[in-house]
Amino acid sequence: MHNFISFVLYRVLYGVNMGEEDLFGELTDAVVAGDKDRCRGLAEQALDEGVDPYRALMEGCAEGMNIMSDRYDEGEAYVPDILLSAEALYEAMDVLKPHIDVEDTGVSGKVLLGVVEGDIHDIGKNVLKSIFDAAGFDVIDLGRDVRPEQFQESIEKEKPDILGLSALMTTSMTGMPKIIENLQKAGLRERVKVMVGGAPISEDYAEKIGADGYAPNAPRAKEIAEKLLKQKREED
Amino acid sequence: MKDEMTSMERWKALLNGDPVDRIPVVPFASGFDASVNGYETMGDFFAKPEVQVKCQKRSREMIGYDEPPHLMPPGYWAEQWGSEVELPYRKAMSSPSVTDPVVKTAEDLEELEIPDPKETMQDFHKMVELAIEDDLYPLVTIWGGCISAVAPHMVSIEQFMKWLRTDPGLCEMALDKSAEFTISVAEWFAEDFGTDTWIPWDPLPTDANVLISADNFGELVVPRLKKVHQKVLDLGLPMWFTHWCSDHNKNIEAGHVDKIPHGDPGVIYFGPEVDVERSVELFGDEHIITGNVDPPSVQNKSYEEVLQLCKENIEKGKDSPRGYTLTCGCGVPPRAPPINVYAFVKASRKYGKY
Repeated sequence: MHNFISFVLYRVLYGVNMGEEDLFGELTDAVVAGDKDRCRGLAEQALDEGVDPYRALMEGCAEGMNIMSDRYDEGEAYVPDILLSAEALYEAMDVLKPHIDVEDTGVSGKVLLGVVEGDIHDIGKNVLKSIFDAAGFDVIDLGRDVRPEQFQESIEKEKPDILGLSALMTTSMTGMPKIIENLQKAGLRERVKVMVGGAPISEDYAEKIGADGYAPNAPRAKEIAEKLLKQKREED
Repeated sequence: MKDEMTSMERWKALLNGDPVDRIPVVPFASGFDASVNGYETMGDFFAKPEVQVKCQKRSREMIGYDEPPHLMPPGYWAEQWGSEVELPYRKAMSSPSVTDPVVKTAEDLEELEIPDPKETMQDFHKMVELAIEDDLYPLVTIWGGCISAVAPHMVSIEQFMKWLRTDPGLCEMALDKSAEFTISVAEWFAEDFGTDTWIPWDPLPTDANVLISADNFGELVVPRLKKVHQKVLDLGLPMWFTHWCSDHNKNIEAGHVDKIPHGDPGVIYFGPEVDVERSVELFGDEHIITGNVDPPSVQNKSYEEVLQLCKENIEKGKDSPRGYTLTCGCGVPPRAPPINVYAFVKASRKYGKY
């Protein structure tokens, strides 16, 4: 809050219009700092100054999430930091997104995420969602404790490119092959790439159950999703 | 291959520092125990004191391991605060889930009263009584002063994590309340059951470094967990059986684990993230070390593979100075094939004789 007040005072006193690059840098810093008030203020400023909202989002906010994602991966940031950064990111997104023309975004990937039935551990999935959002994916979050039928229904309705399944327990991980099997039976398996993750999941297990990708953590999941999306586009 | 001691003799000898005939097997198998007793879901196991005790006693007898019942209250240390809990009556669930934590705001937390154990823990008291009457020397959850006992039991994990950065005073308040509550439960149990009939245990998954930094753990949790552990030891309980669940490597490096009193010896139980060899090297001179075969392997691999993993674990831990138990890293998966749990016992008999 203190940073935000300083920022507002600075603008009121000096009336300075930042350059685009400076503004993007400020947005990046605000996301890294997890400062949601400052993020909202900067996003509003971007609109006021006629800055391309999509560029503000991707070159400003998303860059901040990338930094946090790398820091988390390297053990320099922790879940509390990521959650606050995600909150700041969403604050800016709320302001910018209504002004973004979908055709300008170049977003080509839709991801359906959920924690499998019987499992309410959704911190990892929530961190993943924010990283995917920042990367420009169109993310549909089914939440936690999601029944296999819900995944199937949503795939039919939303037609995602990627299905991301998360499980933190050895019991709930057994739900993953059932979901994949259901998709096969329903003739939906070829339509979607499936990636899996969570504490008890391994690359071997992912392969065994017929998933297309596995990520040991949220930052790696973004890379895997991008790779799977590329594969899918080539196959399509 | 014939055992020279009974399971209970072996368990008690381990804790007392007396010689054992072979490595004790303490797989941490609660949900699995319900499953092999024929329960389709884990609901009754967690809801009914007599079922929780009976299942653990019978499966121990059937499979031959040395684990006493380890007991968790039906309200999961959450209903007692007023949070909503779903018991695992659906097949996909393996443990109770906190569906609606009672604390949403700072005001909720400030106004939250510490529950009276005698009003909110009668079913747990009954559970402990049943196990003690049967001379089972149970492990009894005494859970407080740590994030794992607070989030999500009192407040959602996400909210607590945000408060760590925005308002750590609220985190301290929540931890203090949980510490006070659990100490009062321990005092009540010590008064009613004595201190030589049960062992307190606590799991610490949400305190792990996959979620929080060692600095946060050191500043907020260590003073409170230390207080809870010391108070309980001061009551006359001989030791703590503490499951440092998930990745606590940074907490180890920062010296935080050393600061928590576990008793002399206590039992230090790390997940597969900390190699047994390292546990022995760091804590073996002071404490009993548990093995930690990884749970997904116990669920998914063959009997021969699990036997081999147990053998490797035994070789690393067998000569730990204060004792070692063969254990499954974070508890046996409820749906693990029973033969894979038997592999633990077989490995102890085959490779773990003293």
